[in-house]
Amino acid sequence: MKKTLYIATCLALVLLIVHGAALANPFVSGRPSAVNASFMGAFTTPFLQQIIALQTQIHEAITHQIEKLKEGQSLAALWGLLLISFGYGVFHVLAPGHGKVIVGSYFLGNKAGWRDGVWAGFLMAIGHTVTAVGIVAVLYLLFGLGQLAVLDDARYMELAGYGLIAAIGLWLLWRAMRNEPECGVCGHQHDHDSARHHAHEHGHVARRLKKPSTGLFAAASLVPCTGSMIILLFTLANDVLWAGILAVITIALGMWLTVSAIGIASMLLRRAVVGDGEQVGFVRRGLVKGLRTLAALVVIATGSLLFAGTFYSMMG
Amino acid sequence: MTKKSIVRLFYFFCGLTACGMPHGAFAHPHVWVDYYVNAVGGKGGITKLKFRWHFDDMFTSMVKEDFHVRTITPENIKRLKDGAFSNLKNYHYYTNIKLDGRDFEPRDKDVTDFNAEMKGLNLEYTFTINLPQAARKLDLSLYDPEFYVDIGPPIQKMSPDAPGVMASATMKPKDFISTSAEAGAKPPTCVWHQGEPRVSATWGKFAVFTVTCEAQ
Repeated sequence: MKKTLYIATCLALVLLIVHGAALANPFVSGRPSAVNASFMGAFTTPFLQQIIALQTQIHEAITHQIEKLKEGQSLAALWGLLLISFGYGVFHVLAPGHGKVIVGSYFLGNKAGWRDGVWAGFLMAIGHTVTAVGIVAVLYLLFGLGQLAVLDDARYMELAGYGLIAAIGLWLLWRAMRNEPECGVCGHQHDHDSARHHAHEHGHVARRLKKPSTGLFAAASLVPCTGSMIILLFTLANDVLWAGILAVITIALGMWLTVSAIGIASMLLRRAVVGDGEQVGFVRRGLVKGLRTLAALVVIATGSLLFAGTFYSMMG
Repeated sequence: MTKKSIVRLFYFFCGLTACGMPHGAFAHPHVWVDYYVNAVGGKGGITKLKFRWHFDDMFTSMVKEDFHVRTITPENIKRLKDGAFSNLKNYHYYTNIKLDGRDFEPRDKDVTDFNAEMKGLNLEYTFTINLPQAARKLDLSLYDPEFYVDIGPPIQKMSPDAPGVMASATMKPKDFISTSAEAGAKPPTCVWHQGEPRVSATWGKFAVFTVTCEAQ
């Protein structure tokens, strides 16, 4: 798993360095996409549109707070900024994207404890924003790319992340089909039908890191948080980078909260479906396999749809 | 099958529905533009469309940073035109124009009088699209089918939604149409209405407002 991550990261970096292909902000360069991908948009629901609309509004509010901060660094503006950023983090997870789907479906399909949910939320929130900070630091500060170019190049990273998510989904599907042990316990070599399915309260970070779910959530967090990147670039341009960094940290906290909540909610749903104990009985075993297969399929669908969508939007 | 397993099956299908819930939208717009249009009546009908594009704070900040624009000077305007406007010819400036029912896609030779200025914290572009022939009736809408740019008329802020074309059906644009006249002609009359929503690859459905003008 670590190797896969390593290779993917290297690949993404190479792609970043050989940037400058057709994709770009239409005001600067590029042509309309030759591919009609409007069918991809058919997946949107009014609820998601409301969330996006809300997110845009929050974004605008963040900009205004930063502008206020720039004028005179009032404490009220700072608190306003942090409060709004936290809200942005909370809603950002609900907006269209991969986070909630992956965490939700993973914990629906695989047995885990609430700590795993909190851990997943932590990984996703930190990864998602750290990737954003990293991209801004490397491309803007180090390579001196323009701000618009930074946002466009970040899409290579998104592409790599989505591809990796789809690949991990395939692997989860493979395991589900072969009835291999669930990922609460996999990574250990032992017989399948033992009662060990029950025991998985690993408290240690090192042990957690070995879990394949960590790979999945880390892959998911390779996708940079565009909102955070925009805020960082905006605060850089306005000489209040410190406020941008504080805002991004608060966004991560907000995301942590929502992702953990979604993870735990789907665990509860899973418990309601298959119960907590051993998998006895034809129906129960079928349900477990069904859930696992379903979860894997949703992860594959999410990864590949987002990959396709990003890819289409990058084609000149 | 026991009663318990039936209940469990029920929960299973709840989970199935939750997972199958559509979640496919991909990205949000990166640039927000409110547009204002002035339809000019001239000899034989409507001859020009004068546009004013009002950009969001983020895009303004990025463009100023990337093109080293501190204040607006003639030199900077040229730089902005070459660097952050001219390429829109490939997108026919996001316009969809019908002249007496016939489609017209403006190219760079049709666009004149480009100017950029700062209105408060926001960048504004103004430019004129010269129509190839005078039109008695003109239909106009602006949108980016890819929804990378959220361009549309300014929206009444009393709505809880966000600005731009992601406006829902309940939202109304405000004061974005004006008319004028040249060469002794009368100004045209214009009205707006909400057209069929468009579907974008990156976002899903978004509202489109169409302006219809008739020469007097």
